[in-house]
Amino acid sequence: MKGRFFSEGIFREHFRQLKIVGIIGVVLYTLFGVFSSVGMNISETRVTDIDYNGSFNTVYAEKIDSIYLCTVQLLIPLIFVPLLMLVAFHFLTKRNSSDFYHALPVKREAAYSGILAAVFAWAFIITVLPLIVMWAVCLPLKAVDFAFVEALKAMLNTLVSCLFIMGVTALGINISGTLFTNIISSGIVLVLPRFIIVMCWLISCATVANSVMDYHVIRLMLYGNPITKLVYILGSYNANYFTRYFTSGLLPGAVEGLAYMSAGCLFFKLRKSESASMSSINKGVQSIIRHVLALVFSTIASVFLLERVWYGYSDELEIFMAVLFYVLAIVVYFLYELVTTRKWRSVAKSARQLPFFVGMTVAIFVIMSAISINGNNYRMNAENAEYIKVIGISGFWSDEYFLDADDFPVEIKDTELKNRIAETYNRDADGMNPNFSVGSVMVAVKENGVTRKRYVFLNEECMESLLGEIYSAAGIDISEKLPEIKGGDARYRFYLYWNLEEPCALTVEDMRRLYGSLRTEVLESENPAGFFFEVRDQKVCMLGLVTYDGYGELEMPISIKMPKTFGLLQEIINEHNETGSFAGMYEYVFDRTVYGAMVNGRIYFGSDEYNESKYYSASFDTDEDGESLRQIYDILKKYEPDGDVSGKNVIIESTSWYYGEYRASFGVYNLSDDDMSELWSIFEKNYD
Amino acid sequence: MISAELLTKEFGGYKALDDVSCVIPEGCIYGMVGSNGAGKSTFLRLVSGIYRPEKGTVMIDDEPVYENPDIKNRIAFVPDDLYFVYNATMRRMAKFYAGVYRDFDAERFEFLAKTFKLDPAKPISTFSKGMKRQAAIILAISCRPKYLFLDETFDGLDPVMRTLVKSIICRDVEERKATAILTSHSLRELEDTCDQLALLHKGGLIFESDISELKTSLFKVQVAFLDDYGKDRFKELEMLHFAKSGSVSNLILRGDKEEVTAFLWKMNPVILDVLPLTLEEVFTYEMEALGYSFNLEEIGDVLTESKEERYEG
Repeated sequence: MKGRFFSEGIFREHFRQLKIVGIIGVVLYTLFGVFSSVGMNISETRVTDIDYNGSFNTVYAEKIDSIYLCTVQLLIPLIFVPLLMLVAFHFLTKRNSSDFYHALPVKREAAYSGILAAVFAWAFIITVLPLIVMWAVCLPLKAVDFAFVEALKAMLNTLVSCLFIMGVTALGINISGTLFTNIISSGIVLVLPRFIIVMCWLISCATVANSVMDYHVIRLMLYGNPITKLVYILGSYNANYFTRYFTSGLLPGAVEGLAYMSAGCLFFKLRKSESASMSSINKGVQSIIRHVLALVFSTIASVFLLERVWYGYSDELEIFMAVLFYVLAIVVYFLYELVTTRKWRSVAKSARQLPFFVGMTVAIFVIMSAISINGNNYRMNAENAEYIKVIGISGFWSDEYFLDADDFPVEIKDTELKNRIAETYNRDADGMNPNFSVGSVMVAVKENGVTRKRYVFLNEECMESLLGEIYSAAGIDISEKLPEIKGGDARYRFYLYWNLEEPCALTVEDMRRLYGSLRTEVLESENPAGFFFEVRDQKVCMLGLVTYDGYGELEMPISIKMPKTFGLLQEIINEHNETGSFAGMYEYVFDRTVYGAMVNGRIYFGSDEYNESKYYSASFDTDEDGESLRQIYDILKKYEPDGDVSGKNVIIESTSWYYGEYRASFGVYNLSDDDMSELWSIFEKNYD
Repeated sequence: MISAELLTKEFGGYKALDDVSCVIPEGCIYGMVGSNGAGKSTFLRLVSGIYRPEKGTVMIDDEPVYENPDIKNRIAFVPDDLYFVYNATMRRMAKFYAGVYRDFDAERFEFLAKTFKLDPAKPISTFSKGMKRQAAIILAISCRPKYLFLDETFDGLDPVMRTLVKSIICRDVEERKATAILTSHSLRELEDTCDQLALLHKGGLIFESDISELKTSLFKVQVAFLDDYGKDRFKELEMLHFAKSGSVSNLILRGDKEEVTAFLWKMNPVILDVLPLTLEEVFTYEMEALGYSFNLEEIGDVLTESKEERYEG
């Protein structure tokens, strides 16, 4: 039984053959593990020391978690495993070596499994051995925490990724006979299923107005595979997703990899030894690969053409792209044949199958058109719907709503709300200009047994009603989202998104104070869950909080509608600057007028008549800019910033730069009606 | 025993072997000769289980060879185009063989390496062509095969090594009742070694015969008559070749030597000599009869002709 399905001799020989690649992998990863850990320890200790001026009471240890390890180990399945596979199966690309192996007294499936076992053994060693070394190195390091469980997760994710890539390359290699076609075929096996999924999505979603990418398709595309899952998570900068979706890619990835391996085994068994050094194992496979490659290009072209033909988009670029990709399809069709067979006769013979290729292209276009038209003709009927569920909110900082993916889907029970959602969607689908909308929600509507997912653009009133329903269904506890943070706790870091951040150079303690005030205001408000939504339209900056303990990230607006926090912000700004008022800053800079002195900033007009913000920038070098700045100064010098946001007011943030010196001022001024009007006209005339 | 029946093998429409049938008994050293591209290597690969035939069967010990590890364990095949693992030494290759061939004899391997004066610790890539072939033969023989197939057996081997290889093959066949199939263009060596010989041409088996019988059934006759004569005088004889110079003719005849000689004596020749043929001559004349020959004089004239003479012509 053992000899029938597994050859120990082949395994041992191939393990030897792969040792150069394997040892390089082990050495590179071990070196990386050692140097990165030690470097991290040095860096983290130094940063903490600077941030807390040496007086921190909680040592923050940078966690080497699964997302970090997976990122680093991504090269193993993407580079080392394909290399190992190409070397292991290299004997199939030459006649003498192929004959040699086929003469051995070993069943083909036994040889195949022996070779794959050797590849996997090295992949395992490259993955695990450096991790063990890294763990040992991290033991004495204070500022680095090697999370063992996380390492196991990363290792598992990487090994499943390796299995997947092994399957892909095994199948690709065994349907082709040269190194070049090995790579092409493996690429096709890797990309084609996902390309088909993307195409289906493009047809059913991207060409259908306001369509949402199907969640299950996303899961399949991104989380159904350990590699694509990791790449997506890295791109979304959200490490929590890895923990949340850790297991989701493992089983599908392993199953898909094993399926490819089995198919590879079948082709390994069936292939003829004499197909070594030929472009593919037979003419049929050669033709299929050629058609597939060309159809990829022609399908992309058809997507460009689809929009033009059915929706009348007059963008000439899309026509150009369609023509370009059709031409590329034909070029690829013949070029592949020429490059792989190196015979003009083969190229001429392949031309006979061109009508079939054209027919396939037309058929795909027709199918795509039918799906797209059907999707675009859909109109929502709330009364007919089995359910309408909100599956997500997009277009705004989701943190403003304290909502995340776990809180959805939420079924809308309120009939009037359902009708309004349906009306809004149908109005947009008919092409009528929507009313001012504050954002879009993603809804899933089930009608007549079919579930459709669409974006609906809602106005403020509708959004508030919807949020109310979602919050009560989700049972949101804001205090969990906003932890109490004491001074010196290095497990938390802050940042500020604001154009005054650099000149003011707020310290960690400043930002912690702001956070404390903000937290209090939120929790003491009538509607903590909806607080940020209510205040977001008059925010002046965003305060970010990064939690390293169970990694999380939250961005919170600091708004004019938050009197305590806003007042504290003013206080802190002016603590850091000698020039507290705009007038003070103007005089300071004006006294040092030289070429290149600039004043930049933003003004918020907070009154019913003028309710807008504007950017301004002025240099003392030009008469025009300098003149308008003087006019602003003449108005504002009569006032002191009083911080009262309750009346008609303007808020001015200014920065100036003067030979490497930054200055900032920030203040709320309550102006008379005349001065307000005059200031408005200066800005309206001179600035956007 | 090896038996092939109506064996056919095609490569993309080209027939490399066409309905070849033969039986190779146990303990036989079977020589295979043929023109270039005749199908010798293809035949060996079919018998080794590397190729699968399009038509026909090939059996060893009454079992099919293809995908049969049990039978393949009894076979050692040394191809014309040798393969060794990249940068491998002989010892490394021996380990590989030991891992897959059940009966691989490491002691035998060491002994043979010593006999052939090859360093088993040196990379085979540094060996000469002949040394590589020696290495391949050593590895094959160390597997203690019951069936030994050697393609272009003596290619690259010096005369001393050829003698050694021949002796080892013969000893193995004799002692272990092994069966060997050898192909080579060096007919002199095959003549010394083989019991049976087969001739392939354009994928077909032209003949197979016992060596001694082959040499006696085909012979050269030198004959001269006083009167003028032509080829027709000998039309009753199976003649492969006729060459006349003056009154003396050289004939290559097939048949019973005594009968033919008696028939010729009845013609009252002035000279009649019967000479044996070498295997090489047998091969050459058999191929000539099949139309596989070249007019050397004509080729020589063309080669020596200058460009100007050619243009004038």
